[in-house]
This record gives sequence, structure tokens and C-alpha cells, in this order.
Amino acid sequence: MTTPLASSVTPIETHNLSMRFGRESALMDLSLIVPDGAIYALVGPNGAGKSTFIKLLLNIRRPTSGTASVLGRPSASISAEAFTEIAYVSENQELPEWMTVSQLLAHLRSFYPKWDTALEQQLATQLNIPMSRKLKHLSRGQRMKASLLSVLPYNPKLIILDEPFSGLDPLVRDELTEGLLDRAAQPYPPTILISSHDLAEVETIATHVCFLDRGRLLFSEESSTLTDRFRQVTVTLAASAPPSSLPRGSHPDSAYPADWILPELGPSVLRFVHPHADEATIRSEVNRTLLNAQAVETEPMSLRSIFVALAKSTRSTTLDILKANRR
Amino acid sequence: MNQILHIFRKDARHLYPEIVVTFAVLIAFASSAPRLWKPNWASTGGVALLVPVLLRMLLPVAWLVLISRLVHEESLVGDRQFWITRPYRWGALLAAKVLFVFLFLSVPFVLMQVYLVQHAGLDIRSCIPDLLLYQLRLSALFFIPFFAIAAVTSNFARLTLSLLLGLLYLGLLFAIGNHVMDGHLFPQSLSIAGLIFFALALLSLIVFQYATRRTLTVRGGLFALPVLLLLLGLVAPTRSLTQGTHPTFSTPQWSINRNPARQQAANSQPVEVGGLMFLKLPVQQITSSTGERFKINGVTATIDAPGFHWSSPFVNNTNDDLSDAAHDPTVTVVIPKNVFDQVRTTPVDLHLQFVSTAYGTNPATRERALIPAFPAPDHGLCPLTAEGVVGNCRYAYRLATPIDISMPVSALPCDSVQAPVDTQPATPSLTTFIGSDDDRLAFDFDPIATTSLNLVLPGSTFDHPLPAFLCKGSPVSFTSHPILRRGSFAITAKTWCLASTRSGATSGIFMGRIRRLPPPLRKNIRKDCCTLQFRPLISRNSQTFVSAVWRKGSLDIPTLQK
Repeated sequence: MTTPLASSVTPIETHNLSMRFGRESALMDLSLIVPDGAIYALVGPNGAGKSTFIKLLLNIRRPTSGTASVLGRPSASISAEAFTEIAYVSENQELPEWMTVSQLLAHLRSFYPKWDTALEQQLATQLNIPMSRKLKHLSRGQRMKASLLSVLPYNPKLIILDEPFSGLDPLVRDELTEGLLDRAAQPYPPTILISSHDLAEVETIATHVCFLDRGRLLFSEESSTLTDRFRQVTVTLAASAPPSSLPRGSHPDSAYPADWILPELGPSVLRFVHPHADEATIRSEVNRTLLNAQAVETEPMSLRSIFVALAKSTRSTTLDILKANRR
Repeated sequence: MNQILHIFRKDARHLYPEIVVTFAVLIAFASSAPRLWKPNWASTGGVALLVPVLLRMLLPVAWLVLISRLVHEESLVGDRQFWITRPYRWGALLAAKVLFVFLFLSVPFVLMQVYLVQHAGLDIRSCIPDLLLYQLRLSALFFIPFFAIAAVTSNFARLTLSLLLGLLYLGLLFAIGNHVMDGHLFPQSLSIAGLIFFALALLSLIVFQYATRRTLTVRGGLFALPVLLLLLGLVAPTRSLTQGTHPTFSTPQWSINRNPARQQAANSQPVEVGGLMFLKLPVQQITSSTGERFKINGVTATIDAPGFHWSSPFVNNTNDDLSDAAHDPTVTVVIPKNVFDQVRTTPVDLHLQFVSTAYGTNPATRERALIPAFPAPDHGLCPLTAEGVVGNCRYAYRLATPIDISMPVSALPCDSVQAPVDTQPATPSLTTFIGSDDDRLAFDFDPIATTSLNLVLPGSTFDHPLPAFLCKGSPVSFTSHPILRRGSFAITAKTWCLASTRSGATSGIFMGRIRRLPPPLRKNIRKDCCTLQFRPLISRNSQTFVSAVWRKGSLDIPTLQK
């Protein structure tokens, strides 16, 4: 889909990046690499640490420990010059509300030596933005489009979008997505990092997905690998199966192998998500674990289903920990 | 440079309403300020008086609003501002803001002051150093602090709240400092150094904030800075600095005048104010006169007695004047009452060191009284009406040092006198003065300092002044007294009785009960600084009621009653 930049500079690379606010950890030992030319979806529930991660990358905040580099520069040294190559758009960004969209663009033009006025006009038409309207009078979607319009004309090498689609109607979302995909289709496409709490918003365009939960990185890999790997498993159980047919152990949930995500036991069916989609392995595991297994079916999953399963799984783990602590 | 100008143009375009309002306030101030140059302006009352006063308060508010809007355009607080992820160079951003303050606050203010100086009829060229010094002080006291607080707040409401809290905080520290250093003479050089340090520290914090946006750190710095200044003020070697800036005068030399008549004449009752005793000492010049007039600025006292030593820092003096013309000069010494009580009956060695300003006398110059104004020495100007009323004499930024003025005056308004000036009935030559001992730069937004000539005929009373009129063409003689030098001189008095300085306490009678009757009874006792004569009245329960008569000095009754 994309052709990476000729240069060998890794757009984003972090090592054990951590951030604490007092006693609270917002990020814990985050190590990842965002490949050149990728559309990298940073996914996680609210409070997972996505915005904090982005602010550390852009030197808006300073990490408690660990390092990050952005376009080959240590994040701590990112300053004015670097922002001629980096674009940042956020739903929470405070824009100069008194300016019209035209004034904003006119103001920004002189900051960027590579500002492409033709592209600016093309995007303005494509995104259908009321140029003479003040930013404070724009709707949420129009503001996001104006923000995007204010970063694309200088052809940034790295575009970072923090919850860009949050609360937008599908039409605006599509317009924004199209705008981004157009950029990604260029001969030298930028690397795009999109954070979102809803994978459905980005799964259609993401080439890579990273899942964050409570400051921890759960996984970071290519979308295609992810969908290839995860499987929804349905095991049909013998109806007369006694409870003892389950492996002997303590609690039924904890009796399943660790890889079995969100096991749901019905009267004659057990469903779970398996992160390693090798059918032979799954069948062997099922037969070893469940004495009364009659049939095993595996189905591919959408990114959204994977995300929801993982989110639920990590949440239920937390609840278990809390319950255990109470006991 | 491009980025600086680009941001500056953007700010100027966006903030033009605030700029216009600031200019309007400035123009209103410039047009109302001359009202206060006139004599008896306070008696005009009403709106005419209120407007210049209100505008004096409104001007800093307009500056505050403009600086707030300017700095908060690209707020440094928070992490959501769009500009922090744009190629804004912090140096260019700060430079653009400074350029804005300079062009839209400093320059218009300078122009306003230049206009007022010219409008007052004074020559701006004669006061350019003062004009520049004033702008530095204005920046240090208004523009830079406003900018610094704006740099650590996110909007005008927070800025105003922070400023009010800051003023309360400064007031508290000032009260503490005032309490600790009550009445201390603070060398002017130290005050200037303190102000420069304050301004530079604020500028450093502003630069640091723009470079790093570490708001909490900078807020901590702003909070700590006044405390640091207070501590520096407390530990500053004010005594040696005062001595260093005031070399010892070789001439004239002064000593305590031990003539009892002079002592008695000079000493009024020592005044006790807030735990301090104000003692007046008669002094005399023991070298030949230098023809200078000395004004005392401060004094440090050292008191030594057997087993006792006390030394004070330099404290402000009550502006004692040791001019040659003063027949019986005195100097005032301030001693804490608890110190005074410890040595009131003991002869002490008193060492006083005074810092003072010496004023010379220039040869008299003569000017003709002209309408609408005639010049006064040191670039001053005194307005004159056809009626012969002399307005307040005007100076730019600081008053002249004292100037004696003598002139023939008329008891009648000049325009009612038919005869020509030279043939007018003889009128007394009136002598008055203008100017001030205080040569420091005045701090008012209005650069014009005025001094009243106060022409009243001899025989006037305060309640019924008889106005005198200076007619056009009359000769006016000025004798100015410029500051020649600043220096110090010492006076030492051996075995001096501090209590003997109490006038009216040189003799007296006490009737009361004492526990320890000084043996032998009915004996005159010389109790160091006073002579006692006891006479028993009645004895009961080993206590004796006596009458005591003392001469020379005061009696320390509580000591005897123990």
C-alpha cells in the first residue's frame, strides 16, 4: 500500500519509556518501533496512556525514565525546527479561536519552508472547509478538518493524530480518512500515528496496530499478522459431561490455559479467543484441557473483535486482582 | 528575524482594540495631567481632580490587560496550545513579545512624557538621562512583573488573581522587612541594586519559562524571589556600604556642645515613639566654617559603659540641618527604650557617626519676571500671570536642590496698578525658596515635578494669608544650593549622661516608699548621673517613706524601689 521513505531513519522508536504522575503510572516501560511509512494505530481504552505517549514523543512532557527518538532525534531535543517535519493534530488542541481558517493558514505558511500552497487549496476544496469562518464558530468536525488542513500542506514526514475521529459523524470521518489516505498514497508517504480508543475508527486504514492498556503495551504488530493470528474458538462439549470432566484445579476460569482469552462456558459450548492461530495446536490444547470436547471450530476475527476481547480480558484480569486483594 | 516580525504583526493585528484603548488612556492622562501642575489644584475638587487620579490607576490596568492578552496569545501554561507543536522558535516568540511591549507600551509612554515636558515649557534635552532612567524603573516595576506573571498563567482572570495574591504576599513580606529593619537607612545604591537584581531575576525567569515552559519551576522562582530579596536586604552589609559611599569629611568637624545652658536650651522632652527614644544633642562646629550647609541623612550610634556595649545600624535621621545659619544646631539620636533604660543613670561613652549631604551656595543669578513664565535655575520654569500670580515652578523628573529666591512684590494685583513697574510704590523684598533636599527621581507617571513659591506678604497668618504679587519685569534673584558632596563625620562624647538630656528632669521631688534606704539617711547621694537628697518621712514595717530631691538628671525610681 505504501512506499517507505528512502532514508533509513526510524520515525518513532522508544525504549522503556515510562511516565509517572505522582504515584500513578501513566506509561510503563514502553518499547516499540513505528516503521517508516506505516499507518500505525495506537489503540487502547480511555486512560490507557495514548495521549501521554504522544506528548512524550513531541517533547510536550518529559518522561520519568526511558528514551524515545522521533525522526532520528531524541524526543527531549525536539524543538521548533523538528516541527517543520512533524505534524500533530489533536481533538483537544487549543487553536487561535479568533482566526478564520484562511488567517490560520496564512499565519502558518511562513513557518514552513516547504509549504505547498497548491496542495493547501486542493485540500481545502477536498475537505470542504468554510475558509472565511472563525475557528471558534466551526463545528467539531470542521475544526478537525481545519487542523488537518493546517498540517498537510507542508508535507510532514510524520503525522501524529490524537483521537482525530472522536465524536465525528461518519461523513466527516470518511473525509478525514480520505485526506489521510491520499497522503499515504504519495510516492514518499509520511508515517502516520493515529491514537484512538475505538479500533473500528482506524482498522480500515491501519497497517500496524499497537494496543495499550493502563500504560502497558500489550502488543504491537502489523494488522494483517494480527488478524491472521487471532481466532475465535468454539468448542462443543458433550451434554452429559460432569463438572469433573474439567481439569482438576481451583477456579474454573483459572483452570484454562493462559492463552485462552475470555473463556465463556455455556451448557454445551465453550467459547474463547486464541492468540495463536494454528488450528492443530488449538485442537491439541482443547483435547488436552477439556475431556468432553466433541468439536472445535475456529473463525478469523476482525481487528475490532480482537480489540474488544483484549480490552475485556485485561479488565476482567483487573477485577480478579481486585477480588483477590479483597479476599 | 522574519519569525519575530511575523508574530509581532499577528499580535498587532489581533490586539489593535487593546492597543487603541491603551493609547486612549495614555492620551487622556496626558491631557489631564497639567491640571495638577497648578497651585491649589486640590481645592478644585470634583471630577476635574478625580480624572487624573483615576487615570493614574487606569494606566497600569490598561498595561496589564494588554500584556496579558499579548502573552496569553501563545500561552506558556499547559500542553494543549497549538503553537507548541509548530515551528515557533522560543527566542523569536519572546523577542516578538518584547518588541510589542517596547513599541506599544514603552515608546508611547516615552512620547507622552516628552509631550508633557514640552507642554510644561521645559527642555527635554536637559533631562534625557532621567527620562531613560525613568523608563528602566517603569519597566522594572510594571512591565517586567506583569510579563512574568502572565508567563506563568493561562488567562487574564488567573493573572489578575495571581497579581492580587502576589501583592498581598509582597505586602506581608514588606511588613516583615519593615518590622525587622524599622527606620534603617538603606543606601540608595543598594535600593537601585535591589531593583536591578529584581528586574534581572524576573527577566531570567521569563527567558527560562519561554525556553523550557517549566511553569511550576518558574512559579516557584517567582514565589522565592521576594523572600530572597528580603533576606539579601537583611544580610546586606548596609553599614559598610553606607560608610563606603560616604567618605569621612575632613572639614568641618563637630563635637557635642557641653555648655549646660545650650544643653538645657536644646533639649526638649525626649520623645518616646513605639519603643524608641528620640534624644536631641546640642552640637557645635569646632573647625572653621566651610560655608556649606549640612543635612543629616542618617546616624549610627555606639554606646559603651562598664559591662555594656550597644551599637545601632545606620538609621534614618529626622533631617537635621546643620547649616551655618542655624545658631544652635542639634542632632537627633534614636535609641531603643530598653537600651536607654539600662544606661539612663550611667555615664556612657557615646560615639555617633552621621552621614550627611553638604550643600554649597552658588552666586546669585538674576532673572526678570516674564509672562507666561520665567526660568528658574536647574532647568526649571515658573509660570506667571499678568495679575502677578506665580504658579508652581516646574521641573522635569526631579526637583532642583534648594533655591533661595528674593524679589520685590506688590500687595495688589499687578494689572490693577496703574503706575509702571519701576515707579510702583516701594514693596518689601520677599524671600522664599523652592526645591527640595531630596534629589531622588520622582516616581509618578507625570514627569513634571512642581514646587510652590507660596508668595504671601510678611505679617500673613496661615489662616489669613495675604497674597503677594510678582509683577512683570520685576527682578528675581535666585541663590541655588547644589549638592557638593556626601560624606560622614563622627562625634564622640565621653562620660555622657543620656538621661541628662531630659529637659525638665534636672531637678524634681519624689515622695514614696523605698525598700532599700540608701545609708546613711539624710545624705546626699551622687547616683552617677543624678544627685539625690533623701529626707525620711515615716518608717513602718521596715519600710521607709521618704522624700527625695534630685538634681541634674533624672531619677531611676524603679531601681531604688527594688
